[in-house]
Amino acid sequence: MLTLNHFLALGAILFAIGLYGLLSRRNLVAILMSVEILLNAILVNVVAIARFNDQAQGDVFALFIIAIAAAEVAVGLALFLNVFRLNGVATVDPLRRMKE
Amino acid sequence: MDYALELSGALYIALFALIGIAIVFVTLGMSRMIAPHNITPGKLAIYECGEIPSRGTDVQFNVNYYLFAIMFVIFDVEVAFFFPWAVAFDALGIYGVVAVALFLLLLLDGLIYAWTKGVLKWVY
Amino acid sequence: MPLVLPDIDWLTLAPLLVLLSTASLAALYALYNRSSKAVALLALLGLAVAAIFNLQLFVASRAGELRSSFGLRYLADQGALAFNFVILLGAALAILISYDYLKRAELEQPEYYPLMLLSASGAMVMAAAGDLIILLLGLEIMSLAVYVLSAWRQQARESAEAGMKYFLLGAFASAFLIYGIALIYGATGFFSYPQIVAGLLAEGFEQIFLATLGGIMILAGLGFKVALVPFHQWAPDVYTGAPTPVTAFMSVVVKTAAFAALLRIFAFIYPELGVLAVQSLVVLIALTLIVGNFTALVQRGIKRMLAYSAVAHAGYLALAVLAAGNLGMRAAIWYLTAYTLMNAGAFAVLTLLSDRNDHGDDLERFAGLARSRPYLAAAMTVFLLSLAGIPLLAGFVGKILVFSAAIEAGYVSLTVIAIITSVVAMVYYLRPVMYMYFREPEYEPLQTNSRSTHIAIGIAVFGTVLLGIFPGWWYSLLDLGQSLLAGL
Repeated sequence: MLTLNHFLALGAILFAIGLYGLLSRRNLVAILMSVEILLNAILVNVVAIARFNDQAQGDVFALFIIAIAAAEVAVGLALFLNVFRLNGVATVDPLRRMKE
Repeated sequence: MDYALELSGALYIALFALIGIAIVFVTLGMSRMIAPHNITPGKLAIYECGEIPSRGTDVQFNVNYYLFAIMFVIFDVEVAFFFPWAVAFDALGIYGVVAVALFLLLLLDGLIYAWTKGVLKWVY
Repeated sequence: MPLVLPDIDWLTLAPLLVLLSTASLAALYALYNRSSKAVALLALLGLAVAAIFNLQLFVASRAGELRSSFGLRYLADQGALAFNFVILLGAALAILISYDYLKRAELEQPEYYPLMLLSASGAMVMAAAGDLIILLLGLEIMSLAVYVLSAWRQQARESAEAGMKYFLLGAFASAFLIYGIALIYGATGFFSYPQIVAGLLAEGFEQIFLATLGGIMILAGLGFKVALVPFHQWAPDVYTGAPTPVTAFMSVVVKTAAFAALLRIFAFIYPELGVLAVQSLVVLIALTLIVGNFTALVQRGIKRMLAYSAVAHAGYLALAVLAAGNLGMRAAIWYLTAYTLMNAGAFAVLTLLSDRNDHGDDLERFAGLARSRPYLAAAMTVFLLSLAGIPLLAGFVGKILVFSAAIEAGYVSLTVIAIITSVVAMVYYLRPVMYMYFREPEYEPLQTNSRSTHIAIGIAVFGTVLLGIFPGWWYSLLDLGQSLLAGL
């Protein structure tokens, strides 16, 4: 039988994948995508919990997560465009310059 | 109400996934075994529906696409908030209408701003 | 299932709604009138009106009338309202500092001010949150605006990178926060604080591991916002790369809001979680105090030094969080008030000393400043001494309050670390003062003047000295005897 723990595990695995992408990819767009994976991993958790608890609060939270993800990606893309315009590359490498 | 899924359902999904993966490997493996190995430059070229490819695949997209994408993402996703309202339309009554109107007003504020700023105009 | 409509108390929401509507109107107004002055004045007006509403609520709450909205999810108790004052003050100081600075740096775009208002409104939501979803929404509203603001210097790589870096790490941190919220929801089935506590205390509760894990993740997410070590990596780079007024705003308003949220959940939820959740904060504080202070010691640039000092102050403030409850809350609000005044003031002085690209903030530039610009040097001295915790200035009283709250709560050894590190901190705070007063000038000082920045510095000096000499009145106003949620 599929229990809540299976869904939580799926969420955790997705979260780990997103985390890995966030830390290992150098392309900024790929990093943005990893952030989306992170949020979607949580979304899986939340929706599963809401369904197993049979209550609507979790679904409301899921909607908010979707909206937050969209807002984040919009701002992130805008910032990315700015970096891209200045540096001409889409990777994080130039961002390391400030580390002393 | 018990929402736990039956094992059989999960089994079907697993079986489906396994068969799907197997088909890919079987067909690719067969083609590798059976097909004659004979590479010409034409075969290695980028597939362009018969046209001769003009450049590599790492094309830079126009920045305008990103601006449109940003606008699209925002307005597309905010629609998600309308679904619960639509589902509970009768129960919410005038209260829901006012709340959604306020929400729309805020969105409209953003749209007017973006529009006047010329974000929706394509810059060549 | 019957549909229960949420109760909405408009007066509770009034300060927030004023800021939001001012911000959206100002953004629209900016389309037709590109004068920054009008928009900046509008923004200040919005802050003032919000402060008046807040004052009305505060007076009512002192009289015992406690309001809330959305069924105890948006609170207007004394804690939240006092935090609102600090947030509004910080935002007003930041706007005053910004005005001439932006003009000088040719960054003048009227949209700057609505963004700052939006960010401040998000901060107010965080302070008022009685529900984890509301907390998250406030955090995002606040952060998204600040990400953009820190990349405001579009032509400078440092600024663009500061924005991008802050965004990436911020998104990372908020993912942790959301995951933590999801886990707590999974364990207890609720989002609002009273219900979570009830769920945790319920008979036969077995999910304590999940809930504790969630609590630690929330701590990590909020710890990032206040720059607790080891979540502070972004702070020096972002603080240095962002335009100085934005740095002032970040170090003051963002920190206040995150601590307000942290204090509330620590007072309620954390005592019921596993002991690991509280222990991890103890470790974070010890690390923050040591790393923050000792790294600040070796910085040459004043802006970077102030960034690490902000990290160190997060450590002192987190001590008050450990002592959450009435005493800790009062100490934290008091400390944050003082911190807002002195830190914003220090950054304000910095805007007048560095050139239009924010360069030239190294220690050598401060040499002989007492002779060339005596008033500025005096103001900077007041701020630095207050940050260091010299008696008769606000910072000293704040530290005393926080330390005694922490000792009361039984964290004696941690308080000893805090006292030792604050002695170490004297060195890096006093060094610029030495340079200003006892060194010959090496550079021709900039003669930048700005009326609005002078006003901000004046307010900050006045406040720092006033709170330092008469600390009692503000502290007695913060008597949080009554709160909407039990336990505070």
